[in-house]
Order: sequence, then C-alpha cells, then structure tokens
Amino acid sequence: MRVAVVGKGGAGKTTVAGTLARLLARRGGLVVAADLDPNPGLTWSLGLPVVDAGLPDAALREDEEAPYGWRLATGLTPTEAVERFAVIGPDGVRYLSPGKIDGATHGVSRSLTAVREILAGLHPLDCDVIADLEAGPTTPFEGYHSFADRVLVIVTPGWSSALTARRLRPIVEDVPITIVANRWGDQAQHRGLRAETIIPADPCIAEADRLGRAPLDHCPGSPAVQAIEALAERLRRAEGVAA
Amino acid sequence: MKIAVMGKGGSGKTTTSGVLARGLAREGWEVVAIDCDSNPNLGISLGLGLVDTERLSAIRQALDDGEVEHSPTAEEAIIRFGTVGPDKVRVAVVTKIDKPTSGCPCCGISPEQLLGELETGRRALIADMEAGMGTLTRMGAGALDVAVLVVEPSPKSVGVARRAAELIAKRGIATTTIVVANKVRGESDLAWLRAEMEEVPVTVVPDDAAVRDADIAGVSPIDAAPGSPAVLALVTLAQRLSALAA
Repeated sequence: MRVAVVGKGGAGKTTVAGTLARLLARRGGLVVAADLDPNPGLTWSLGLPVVDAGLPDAALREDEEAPYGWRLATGLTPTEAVERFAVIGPDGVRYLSPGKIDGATHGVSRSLTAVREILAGLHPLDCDVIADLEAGPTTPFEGYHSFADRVLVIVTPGWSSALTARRLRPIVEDVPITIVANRWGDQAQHRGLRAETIIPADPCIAEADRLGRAPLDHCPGSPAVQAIEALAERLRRAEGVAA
Repeated sequence: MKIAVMGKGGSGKTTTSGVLARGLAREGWEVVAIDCDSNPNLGISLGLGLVDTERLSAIRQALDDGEVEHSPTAEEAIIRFGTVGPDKVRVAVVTKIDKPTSGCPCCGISPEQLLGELETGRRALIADMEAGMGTLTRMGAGALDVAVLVVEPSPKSVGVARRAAELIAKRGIATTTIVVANKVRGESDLAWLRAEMEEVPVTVVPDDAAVRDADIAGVSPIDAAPGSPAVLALVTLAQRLSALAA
C-alpha cells in the first residue's frame, strides 16, 4: 500500500504515520516511511534518533527541467536509493529524511524532490510506503500525495480541524480518501467528514509526545495504538479487495 | 509595531495571535491581523465566527481571479479584501488553498511582502504565520519588531522554535524574541522548556480547557472565557508588548 497522511498541524499526522509504518512492518514485508515535511518529526514516532541530514549529494544530480532543478543521480533506482540511503529504524522500517530546514530552503527542497521521486518509483509489490506530509494544504496542492493509492485525512474535534479537512478534501480527492478521527472523545462526528477509524483521546500518547518517545514503545496496547492497529488491518483488507 | 507569531503546527499560533490582536486593540492600538497560513483559521480566534471566517477572500487568489483591475498596494489590499471584527481588529488573509485550482499559492503577494510594505506608526501588525519555518527563511534583518515563538512542552515543538530562534538571531530578523510556553501543565513542563530554550524569555500560558472548548464551539477564547487563565496570560502579554513599543 502507498499511503499519504495529511491534516491540520497538530492533528496527529506523525503519530499515525509512524505507528502505522511500524505496525505494518511487524506484519512482515518492507516498509518505507518518508518525511515529506521540511520540519520533520517522523523520527519521533518511529522511535529513531533525530536525523538532520537529507539525501547526500551522491544521491542527487542537477537537472534544469526537474522541479527545483534536482533529481535522483543517474543510474540510481528508487529501490537502490532506499537500500543505500534510508535509515533502518525499529521493526526494520526504512526511514527517508528530507533533512531539516535551517535558513537555506534549497537543501531541503532538493532532497524533498528526490524523496518524492523515490516514492513514485518504488514498486507497490516490493514494499509499503507511508509518507507524512507537511501540515495544511500547500504540499498536497503541489501534488505531494500523488504517489499514493490512499490518503489519510486526520481530523480532531474542533472547528479549525474540520475546516482544514473540508478544504483539503477537494485537493486530495484524486486519490481515495480515508478519514481518521484522532484524539476523539464523545463528540459527534463533523458533518460530511465521517471517519471510518476513530482513535480515542489517550493521555499516554500525549505523554509519549512530551517525553519524545515513540507511541508504540511508550504505550503498546493502549487504546490509541489498538485503533491504529485496526486501521492497519482495514487498509490491508482494502488493498486485498483492490488487487 | 510588527509582530509575527510562529511555531510548530498545533502549538497554538492562531489562538495566541487572535487573543494578542484583541488584547492590543483594547490597549488602544489600531490592529491589523494578517492570516499568513494557507489554511486560514485566524478569523475564528479573532471572534469573527465560522461563516465570516470562511467567507473572507484571500488577497492572493482574489488578485489571481481578476477581482480588481490594477495591482493594489498592500494598504489597498487589506482594505479591499480584509474585514473588521470585534474590537475593530482588521483581518486579512494572504492566501487560501481549498481547491485544486487555487492558483500558484505563493506567487504575486507574500506574507513577508505585506509585512514589509504596510506602515506601522500607531498601528500594530500581527501576522499569524504558517506552521514551521518557511516564511521566516525568506525574511531579512529588521523585518519584525517582535517574534513570538509558540511552544508546547514537547521535543518536536521545541525543535522548531529553537531553529527559528537561531535563524532570527543570526539574521537579526526581530528586535525582540519572546517564547510563549503554551499548554503548560506545571512546574516540570516549565523548567524543561526554560532549559531547552536557553536565554529566550518565556511567557507562560497554562494548559486551559476553556481554549479547547472555544475551538470545539468555533468561537474566540477571549469572548467565550475572558477570565480563563490562558486568556489572562495572553492579554497580559499584549499589555507588555504595548508597553514595550511605547
């Protein structure tokens, strides 16, 4: 499966993406988890130390016609790029980092472009891909979700999240959408945004966030992790139906 | 006075911006609040209501759709496309992306350009920035009087704020940098945040259910719960900023 995770800032995109990637990896098979956010946070939910660097220069080449003027080095296939440059994390998840924004955006942009090229080029039968997108509509608008066969839109209770999801929907609906309600209590669902998966509000996840520990390591078996496990199962089944 | 509010997604930038804007207006400032997020929600925190927030035209897309014949100045744009809400705060949205045909999201007019061109004087400009650091990387020396970094007690949130603080100091982007420690639940949260943020002064905004309830209801916390601890902390910060500029 190839999944892009979108939503408002703070909705829980990174929690869902990292935990889902590890749970899928535990079921067997290669899982590539990619940060498509120039303020990357996915290392946290994967349980990896922070990775500051993006793809090294050896992985890239200049190409005037490519977006931002960069693409993958000549002869480097997406599969080889994962083998050589992904960081191996807990449960064997392969993590692709765009590097961190630190004043010079071009370093991150060229790495991001190459990560997108890798995701688009990986064969769906070789691995699962989970990508965590930047908050809000800008990068989905630029088509960062277009590698995916499923977009998860994360919503939380509250109007700002619902407005965000409603604005995101027309932008990403060239790909099938699953709405995931996160940090949910007893609120009624947002109108027009019926979630198939509800991840309950879970103080353990908030604590993991504050401690900088991966939710899956800090809260195994918690209600929120169980809900993400059920989401993994549902996505797998949907994939079987589609195939 | 030019103020920009930034931080990680979900840290509370928009709530902070909205309450600070209203607080400054009550201190006698003419306030222009600029929503720089391509997912604009500042209207809700200013107390404009859901319908009027969603109805606000974004300057960027309005220009793109040819709603005006000539290119307006920044001053004309905030009058033409902005609206006036409670406490006479004027609010304008720079760009809004809500459909696949929203046009180039960053062409034509940018948050840093608006902030640069608008005059201040006895007017306070307060910009609610997009999550992360994108806009900041395009700002130069002296662009801001005050940079407000909103941080919640988590390593991810602190990471964004630290990188922002470093860039602001390196380029001299703002005269004053203030950390708003948001959703603070007690002394241990605060001690950890202070240690992580080193010499940047910290204003504490306690964790407050009234702020969450306001979001659920789609209203501004300063209207729904004016006496709540979080609102009082932000109003006090507005008073300090006002005094700082005087």
